[in-house]
Amino acid sequence: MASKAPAQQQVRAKVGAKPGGKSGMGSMIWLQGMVCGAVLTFATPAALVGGTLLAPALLALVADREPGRPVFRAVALFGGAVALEPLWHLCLSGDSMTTALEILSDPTMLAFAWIAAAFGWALCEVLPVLMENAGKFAEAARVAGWKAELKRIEEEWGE
Amino acid sequence: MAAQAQQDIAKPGSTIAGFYQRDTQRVVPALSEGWPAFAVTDRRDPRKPLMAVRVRPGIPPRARALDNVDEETVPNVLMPLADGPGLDLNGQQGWFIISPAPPGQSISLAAGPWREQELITCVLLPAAAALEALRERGLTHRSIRPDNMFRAAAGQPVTLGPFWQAPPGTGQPAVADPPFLGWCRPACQGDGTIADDVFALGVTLLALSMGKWPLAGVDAQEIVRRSLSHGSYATLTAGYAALPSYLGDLLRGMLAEDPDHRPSPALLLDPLRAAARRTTTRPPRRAQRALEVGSGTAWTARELAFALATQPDAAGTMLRNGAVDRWLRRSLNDPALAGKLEESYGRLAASAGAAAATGGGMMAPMLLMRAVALIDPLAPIVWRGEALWPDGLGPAMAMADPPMVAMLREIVEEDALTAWIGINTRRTDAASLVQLARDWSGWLTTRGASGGINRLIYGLNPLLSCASPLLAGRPVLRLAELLPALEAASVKADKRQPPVDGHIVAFIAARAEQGMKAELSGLNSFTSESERPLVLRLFSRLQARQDCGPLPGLAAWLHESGFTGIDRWKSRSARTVLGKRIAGLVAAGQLGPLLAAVEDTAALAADAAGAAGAAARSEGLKQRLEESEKRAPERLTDARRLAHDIAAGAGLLALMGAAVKLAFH
Repeated sequence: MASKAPAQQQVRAKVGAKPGGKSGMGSMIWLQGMVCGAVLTFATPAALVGGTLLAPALLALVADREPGRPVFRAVALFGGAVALEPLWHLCLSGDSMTTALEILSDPTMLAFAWIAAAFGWALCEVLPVLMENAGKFAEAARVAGWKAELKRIEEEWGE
Repeated sequence: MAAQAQQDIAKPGSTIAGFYQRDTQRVVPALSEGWPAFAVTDRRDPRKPLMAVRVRPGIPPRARALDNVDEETVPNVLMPLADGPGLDLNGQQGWFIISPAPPGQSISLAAGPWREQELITCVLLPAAAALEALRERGLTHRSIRPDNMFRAAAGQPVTLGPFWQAPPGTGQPAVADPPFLGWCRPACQGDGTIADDVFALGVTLLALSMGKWPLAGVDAQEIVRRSLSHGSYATLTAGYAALPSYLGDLLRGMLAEDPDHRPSPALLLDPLRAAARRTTTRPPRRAQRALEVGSGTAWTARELAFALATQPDAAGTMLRNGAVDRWLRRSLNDPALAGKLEESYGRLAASAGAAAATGGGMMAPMLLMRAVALIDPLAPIVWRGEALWPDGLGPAMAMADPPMVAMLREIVEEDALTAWIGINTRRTDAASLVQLARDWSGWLTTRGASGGINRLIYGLNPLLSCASPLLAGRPVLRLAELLPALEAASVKADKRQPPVDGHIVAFIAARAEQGMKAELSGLNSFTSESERPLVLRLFSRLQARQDCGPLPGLAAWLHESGFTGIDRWKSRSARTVLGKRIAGLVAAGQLGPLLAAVEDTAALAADAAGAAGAAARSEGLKQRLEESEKRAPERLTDARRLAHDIAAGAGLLALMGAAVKLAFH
């Protein structure tokens, strides 16, 4: 695994591909662009509400270069959890632009969606630090135990 | 008792052998050869006039004589009563033999010629009685000479002096020995027979009658040569016209060449009968022309044997080129003897192979030995110009210098004794001598410290003092004295060095009864791990057998030089516990419990298993530590991935919660 990552980076440098992208993904991007365009054309109110409420997720999608885009995932899921209800409400109301503007005119809704997204982002930043330190402490305790046992063995059975 | 005796050595005014204390009030008459002696008294019976004779270092006393310690049944001879370590007049440690003190001064040749009657009553009869008693005990005296005969006053019977403090024949003038003993060095002569004592008594009578030694100033080899040429009686009495006829008749028998022709001591108790006894001996066949062997000349077969024995280089050449055979056949007119010699030579050449036909290697001394034995059946073993009797090998080896020891060793290695017995048909003890030769060879070829030349020397000399430098000069003649002597030596010993060496092991191997072979056979350099417990086991068994009492000094010596093997234990705590236990046992001086403590095989096995387990566990822990260090970055990545997964999981839960809320709203 460790030797594979640099090799991939060299290949990317040769073909001029961006980090985090995959070979053969160009058509996929085109497809996604077409879908987005279709949604914007045929469901403009939903796209407007979703795009506004999930704007942090779109930002994370662009900014997150880590494999698997963990920050994007967390931001999108938390933001999605808040955006689900207004989008559902918009669908039930016939996907009208009026309803969409009503929803977007509610600052509480917007703030709530973006705070949820921020919570997802914060979780992705804080949890790794906590987990790494917890792991370090646990490993240090184990190592200390082993060293103490080694010392006891040396004292009892050493030359 | 042995331990007590060794402890007593350090104290002035100590006793010898437990009962004998120095008596400063009495003076012992001077002994022959200036042998050191002083007066002692028996604590149990202070009235007995006794003396202590010091054994000279490196000179083995006569073991068979010291085992006969009952003075009552041996008249007119100073028999040993006891022996043991003690201090001499200068405070020097030594081994002493206790015996009755001489009744007076020794008789002297300077006092002038003795009358015949006095010789018979005061010398012959008491000496013959003494010799008969010795013969019954299987002993010989071999030190019969005027200065070793003592009497209380003129007209009193003589008492034969000490003969047990040195090998037979020590101090004996060549003229007093029969020629077949005389051509050997004194140390090589062996015990001899009682007939040899009769010969020495005859020469003593002759010397006392003459008032001087016969053939005084003549070289020993020349005396032997003349005696072999003309007969001892004729040689010794030549020019002594005043020899009384009765004494002359007695001496004619007593000085016969053949021991079988000499009167027995019992017969000498009746001098008239002894004087009247006549033995007819055929005069030796004389050659028409002499044979020159080197610087020697031979007219008879007996002279030829002596010439060959004393001129080994010339003899070897003459035997190989057939000059001896031709002389025997043509000049001596003895084709039978020449035929035997040729046959013997042919057999030897065949057995030694083609290389031996040139006379090289070991063939020359063997050829000469066989030739001399064939030509004169009364001759001793002759090897490279040295002559010795089989029982003289021990004292000869004990007192010889290194080249002589190497030569004597060759006799054993080449099994010359068996070859000699095969030729010498006069010996009635052939079977026991063959067994003896096998024993010698076995001792010499035994591997390790319990075999080899030291083992041979101590085996051949049952009372030779142990020559180990570890004993710091303490005399140890008997096995019972060994551990007490080591205990005494431990005070000033360098305890980093082992308290055992090749001399001590060979000494124990020679003196110990059966049952110590297992311990002895494994000893070699005393430094290997496997030998250490053997040494402790050997000493502990000796302590138990000899009942030496506590030996704290020796136990400490063994411990400090590493023979307790505490370093064989791997567990530090076990070593600490064992060390405390050993310290207590060392102070108690009991080697048996000490051995049991360090030779606990079950505990040692458990200790070894524990050590192996600890080593495996230690190795595993080190690997884990190494892996932990290597996997640190990987662990961080894993923790980060897990944290992201948890965050994603939480988001998913929130999304599902919102979906459920919508569904049921």
